[in-house]
Amino acid sequence: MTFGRGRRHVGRTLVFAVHVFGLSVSASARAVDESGTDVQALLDENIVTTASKSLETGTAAPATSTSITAEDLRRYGIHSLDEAINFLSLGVVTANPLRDPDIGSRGVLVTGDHGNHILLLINGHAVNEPLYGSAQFGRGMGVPLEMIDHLEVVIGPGSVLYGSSAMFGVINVITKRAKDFAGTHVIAETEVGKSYRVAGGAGYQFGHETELTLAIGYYAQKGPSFTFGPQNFGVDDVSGAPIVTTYKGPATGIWSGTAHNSYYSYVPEAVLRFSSGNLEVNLRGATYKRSAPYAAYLSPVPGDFDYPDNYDLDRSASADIAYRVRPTAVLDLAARVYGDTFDTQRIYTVSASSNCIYRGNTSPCLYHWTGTSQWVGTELQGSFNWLQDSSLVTLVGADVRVVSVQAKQDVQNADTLAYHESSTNVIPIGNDKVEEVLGAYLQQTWTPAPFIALNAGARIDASERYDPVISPRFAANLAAWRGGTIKLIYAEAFRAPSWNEAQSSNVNLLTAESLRPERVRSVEAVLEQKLGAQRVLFGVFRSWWTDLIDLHRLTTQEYIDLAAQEKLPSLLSFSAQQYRNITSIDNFGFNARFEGSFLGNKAHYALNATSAFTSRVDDEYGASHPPAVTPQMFGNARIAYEFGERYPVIGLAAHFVGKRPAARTFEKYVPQIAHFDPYRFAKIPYVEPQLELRLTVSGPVPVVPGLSYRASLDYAFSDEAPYIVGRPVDNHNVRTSPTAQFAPVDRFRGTVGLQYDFLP
Amino acid sequence: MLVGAATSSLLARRAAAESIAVPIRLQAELLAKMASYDRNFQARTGERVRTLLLTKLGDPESARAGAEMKTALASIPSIGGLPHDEELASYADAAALADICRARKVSILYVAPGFSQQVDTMREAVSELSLLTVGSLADYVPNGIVLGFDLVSGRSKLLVNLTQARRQQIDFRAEVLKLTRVYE
Repeated sequence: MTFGRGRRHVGRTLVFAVHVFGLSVSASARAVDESGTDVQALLDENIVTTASKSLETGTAAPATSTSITAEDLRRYGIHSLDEAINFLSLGVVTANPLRDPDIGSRGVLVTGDHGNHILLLINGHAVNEPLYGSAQFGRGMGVPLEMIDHLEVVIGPGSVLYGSSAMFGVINVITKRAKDFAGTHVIAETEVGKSYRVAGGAGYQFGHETELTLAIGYYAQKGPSFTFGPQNFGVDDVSGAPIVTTYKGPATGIWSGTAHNSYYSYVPEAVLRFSSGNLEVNLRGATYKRSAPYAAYLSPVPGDFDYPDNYDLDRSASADIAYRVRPTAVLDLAARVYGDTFDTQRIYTVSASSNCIYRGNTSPCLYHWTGTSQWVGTELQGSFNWLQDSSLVTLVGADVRVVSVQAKQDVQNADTLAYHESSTNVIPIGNDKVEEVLGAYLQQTWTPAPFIALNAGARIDASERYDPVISPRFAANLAAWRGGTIKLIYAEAFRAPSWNEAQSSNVNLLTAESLRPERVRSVEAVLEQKLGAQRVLFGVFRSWWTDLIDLHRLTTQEYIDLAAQEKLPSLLSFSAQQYRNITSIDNFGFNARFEGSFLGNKAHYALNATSAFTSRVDDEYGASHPPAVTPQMFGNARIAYEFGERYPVIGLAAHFVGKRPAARTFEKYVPQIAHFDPYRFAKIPYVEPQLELRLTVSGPVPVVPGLSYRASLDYAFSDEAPYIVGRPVDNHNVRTSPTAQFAPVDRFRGTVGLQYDFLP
Repeated sequence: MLVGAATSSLLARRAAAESIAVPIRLQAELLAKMASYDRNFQARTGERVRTLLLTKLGDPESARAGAEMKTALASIPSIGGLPHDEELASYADAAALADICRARKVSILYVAPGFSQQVDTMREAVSELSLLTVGSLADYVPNGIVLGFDLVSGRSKLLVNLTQARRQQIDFRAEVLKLTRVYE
């Protein structure tokens, strides 16, 4: 795709969307409101807190956001956060490589980024950890779905109040209050033959001021089985024989077969929310063990085929204690202390000799990467409501955090567990064991007249690891005409280099030098129009991304220069890489939403669409190109009908993503190194558009009070995910070559579940 | 400064504030819409809608909610097609409140946060009046305030105490009652 063709594509879509919007507005002007639809329209307003850390309607918030209700999660058969994003949100999309989903927004997605470009909050508590900056957006999120009250998905840069990682936006998972989770609940759900989930929870109020909600859950998934290959991995550089691809298997050089044992995940999870008066306590803990049936992008070592003991394991726990008080009608004060612990292990067994070079060794190698991080912090916040009517409010806050990170890699004999190498790739380097991070923010809101609201703010973040970063935001909200609101937003955000990017090193990776934080700037104009019980949103945006951190493959000249400076480690391989600020992205596009209800509020529908044209420049590919995996057109549509309180609710949801290039498409191996063939796909491997449909029926089980059911069927029309399985070396056309293929899709899924409520 | 203020507040062990769940501006819009769906609204109100905003003396949350509601209602051109004015008043006792409502021909009484303990007596005092009582908090409605607001799954919810509504000659049309959670 050329830049010019992209502009035309977006232009045509824009014209169509504006036309549809115009028709809708004129229809609304003729509508006469006599039957409560004006009240319904107000009740349908989303109420959010994430965009400006204050209670406000979605229309008034200084950002484009989606609020996904617990009812929506149930109606449309949603099982995880990434499904909620794909089927129900605006402007955000995920892709599933059969391990942790990648997440992107408004036409930008960074493959294999561990979700570190979007900030995940759980009840306002930031979850992204400092080693990778990672957060889990799939099953590993660690909150039982029944405990979720609603999700706030805010798109666009959001560092102004939240600091690092809020580049794509901020997702806030709000858990239920006791009044909305009253009693004790037991849930069992299964995707027949593939997974099951059991969960329990309770919500109780003690007197007028005290309440407790908690939930625990366990999810286990194994399968389905996928057949891969055959893929020719060729000859082992060390042994000279064909590569061994299976655990202690024959030296065939062929990676293939049906993976029965290596696609699984296990997630125990628990959350608790306690509040008493002005005090609120949130606790959360989860572990997430998973294995993928193929070596995905950025996996450091391609493990043996279908070996069940190759897995990743994350464990996380957090505590957050907040106290809020209003000493005067002008001043609100909030204090929060929090602490988190996170550890991760990646375990891979490798039988290929070239990945297991140790004298006298004849056994496979066990690679064991371990990382831990802990952080504690406190946030103090003051809100000055100068005129006591919320027309002039100053919000000021400071967040001080102390972070400790440690990581290392061991290589062991897989049979004896004797250490070949211990404590290599150690993080942190040197004696700097602790990082202190300070964030301070100021936000001023002013409503000079009922029809205009202004919001301006900035946050400064400082750490010894990078120069201070200032993230401003300016937003104006104009009630232009009856039911119509125009928003204009300028915002910036950043992402601090993760410890892994800044300090990681091994034989294939040279330690980074002086990484700068990634930056994004965005301008956005949004029009929202209420049309009785229907609402339309149309927004255009443009964003500029600079200093994105990516792996740079060292050139021959760089080897020579490093050697001259005596900076070349003795074991560095000739295909070594280094994290650098090498990528920039320029993109523009639009978001559109049409949602509402009809048939006396019994039928609900929504349509979300995003189209973008994104140009990415990095020194690996050397020219601008569309980002891999990222759809430039995506969206969803849904409709549900409620037959009545005692009868089923039927929900049909669809998720659509357009054609997109597969991951690794734009990598380029160094041509001057003989044994690495220069590789750039002769024809860019685009994955065909995907349409996923989900039909869900839910409701109370007749005759048995307290028992309810949910059943859903999900069908994906394409069997290709935008990831390349296997070695792309020597592969010039992934569709016809026998040595690489697109990642598979679990196309047909059926889930049934029961919930029993012991009401108080 | 913030640390000091927060610490002193913690040590003072203040009573827990009753917090607003639905933005006041949205409450004002809902209140204005719902009033117009009351069949007796015109008869009760006369030519001008008078709203009393009841706040609790010494309660910052209550004072702020009252002030914000006054501003929010003032920005709404009309309530039920009628001009309107709003007045703030501090609560003394239930009998005095009923007297004020009678004397000033109040047709809407908005009860700001801070009155969880007084709602019962308030209900008894105003039961004989033709008056739409509106609670800023959901908890007020089961105890006798006619109309209230709750937050459920990120959306506002209207609550109506139908028994009390009948006593106070409030007759909401079926079109909006079906949108509310009704307490009998």
